[in-house]
Amino acid sequence: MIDNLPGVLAIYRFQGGRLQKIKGVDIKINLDKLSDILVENMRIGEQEAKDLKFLEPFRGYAMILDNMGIVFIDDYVIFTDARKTNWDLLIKSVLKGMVMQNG
Amino acid sequence: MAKLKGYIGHLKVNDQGKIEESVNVDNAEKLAEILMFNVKKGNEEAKELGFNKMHGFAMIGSNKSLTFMKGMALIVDTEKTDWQDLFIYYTYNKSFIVTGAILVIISVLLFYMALLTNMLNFLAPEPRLYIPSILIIIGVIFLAISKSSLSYRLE
Repeated sequence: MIDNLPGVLAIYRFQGGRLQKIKGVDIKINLDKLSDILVENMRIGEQEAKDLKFLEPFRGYAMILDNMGIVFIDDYVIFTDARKTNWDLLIKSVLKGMVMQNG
Repeated sequence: MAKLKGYIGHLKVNDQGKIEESVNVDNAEKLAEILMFNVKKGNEEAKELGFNKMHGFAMIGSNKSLTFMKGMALIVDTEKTDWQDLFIYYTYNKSFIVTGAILVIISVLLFYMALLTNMLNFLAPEPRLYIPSILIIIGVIFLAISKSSLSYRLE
């Protein structure tokens, strides 16, 4: 499961339009503000992917704020220590839908 | 940049968002606009959430993805690329590498001269060995610390 990867702090999931923690530590960010921003960015990203064409089908995005990595793919939002995580393993696992599965 | 795994193309812009270089990009104007807009917006959102700065941003598509670096947008193959390289890199301190390498080479030469030739016979037997021993230790320390801390691709 993905929380075994180094540097993964927490896994959250959008359920009924709200961010719910599934595993890991409590993330000390204003979650309402964060989910507004995440959802808005996903909408903008989808539009941009449509404009650029090569990004389609669009899956999601990843960003680093200070030293916190945030990956938003499908319904999942994964928080990481950006310096400690293995970004390659992390993103490829999430893309394969292995967030909550073994493998 | 072409040496990054899974590289497909890139776009370079200046601070005003004017295109400076475009390789293998179909819609360069649009991409430049998106790059400037997303980085600006990302930094605003970072502040709104209590952070200082956005240090990395990638848009992920099933086949191709887009990552933003300083003044640059990079198009990569989602599967073939190494995502670690897209966000983070190590900076090396060149003067430390050069110093370390020179010290190691000198110490190897001194070992050679001390053990296999009689060029260092003017020295007592112990200094013949401990001078190069000290040099090789210092040299290796320089090499070890030349790999400095990580940096983010998007400053």
